[in-house]
Amino acid sequence: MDGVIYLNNAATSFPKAEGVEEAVSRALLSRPGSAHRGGIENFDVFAETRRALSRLMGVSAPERIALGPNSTWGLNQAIQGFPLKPGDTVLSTDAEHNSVLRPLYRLWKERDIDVRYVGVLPDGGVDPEVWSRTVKACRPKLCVFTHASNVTGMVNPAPELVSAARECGAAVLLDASQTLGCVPVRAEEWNIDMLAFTGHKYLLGPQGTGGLYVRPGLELSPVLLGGTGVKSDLETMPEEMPLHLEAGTGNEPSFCGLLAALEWAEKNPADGSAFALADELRRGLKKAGAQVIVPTGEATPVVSFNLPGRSADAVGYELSEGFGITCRSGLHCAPRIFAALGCPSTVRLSLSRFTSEEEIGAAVSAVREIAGA
Amino acid sequence: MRFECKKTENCFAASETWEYRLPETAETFAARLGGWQVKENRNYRRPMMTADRNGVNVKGVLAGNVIRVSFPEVNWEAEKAHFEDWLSGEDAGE
Repeated sequence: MDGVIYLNNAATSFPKAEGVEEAVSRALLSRPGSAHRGGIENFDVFAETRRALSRLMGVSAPERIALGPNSTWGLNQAIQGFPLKPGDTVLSTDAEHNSVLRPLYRLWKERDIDVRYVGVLPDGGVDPEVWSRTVKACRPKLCVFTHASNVTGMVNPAPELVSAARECGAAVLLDASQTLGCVPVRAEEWNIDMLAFTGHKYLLGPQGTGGLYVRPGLELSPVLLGGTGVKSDLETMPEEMPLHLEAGTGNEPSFCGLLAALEWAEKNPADGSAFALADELRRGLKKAGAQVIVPTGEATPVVSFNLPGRSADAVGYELSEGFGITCRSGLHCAPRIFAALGCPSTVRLSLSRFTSEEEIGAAVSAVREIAGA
Repeated sequence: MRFECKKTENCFAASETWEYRLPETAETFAARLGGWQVKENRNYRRPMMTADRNGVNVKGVLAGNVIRVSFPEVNWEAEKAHFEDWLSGEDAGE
């Protein structure tokens, strides 16, 4: 134990689920897989991972889940590969991460797509009424929104927002980077067209794992083209999913780790302690003099705050160096949200199911100390 | 004094913050900072120092040998060069 308290799980989870390290290690020590050419007796980690993910996200067709290195890949594939023509509108929100904002900027800049953003509430959440009104007014072809803000933790009412978009004929891309493995996500039940996810946050898997679910019947243009191990005589990517979107050799060791994490989580459901501890942390920080952004509804265990008169950068540095508390400070790659939050940046502490009450107590004490310094 | 220097980034494109690895602890270094506004926080689990002068901010863990220096956005190049000239001229008893 190095005395470090890790509270940066919204970026990358640590520690990982039990069995992840061993699975990755075993994969690296084993002969590589068969790249889609294995027979019935060959273990296919990608197929097994798709099956486990489909159970988790409520998907009945696992082959509609394309696997890639992270949700940034999935979001780019969805945004850049969705059939849009010049003059079409894409609607998103001010709570989005740069992995959505930057691809959307490119659509606007290079493909003459009209990109609009719905503002968010002071807790980072989307107001369903404003969303619904805007969808009706601008008739987008595609709506993109985050399931939960990576800055404030506020969970958006996805079924309601999806329903409003679908009623107006828009397809929906849900960014579940901050929620899959943390709060329920039901892709089919909620009528989601595309869902991007990552393995290294609340799924407790290794970095380098993620992907994109695409509903049956929706065809995306693949952003990456290359070898698929099969149908190599074709000049284009095979039409069937997931091969259509999966060019190149997959990250087999890391997906072995993700599969181990998914199987571990199925056997060991979270008890919700992270949510209770996040509430405790918010209360403690407030008492310590911090300005805490408190979500007004369901939230992930992400806590953002500032200390009056101190920059988030300075407070984050002191937490990290002066107290050994790993946190994140700044814009959190979500620059548009700060206008609604009323501050230029925040310090973010993000918990996992492994975070202890003692660690929360230590974080509160550290902030109190910094506030009084 | 010999030192190593590396740019550190944060979320802002205009950030001008650098880390310096020194041949002495930040505590010893802090004692050299005549004319600076130096503050020590000894209640921290790892006691720290901060120092400010002319918009330049220095921070570090007292027992460590790495300091983080933020230069003002305007004129950062001249301030950085000035700081490094001064640092180079200091005798660390190496």
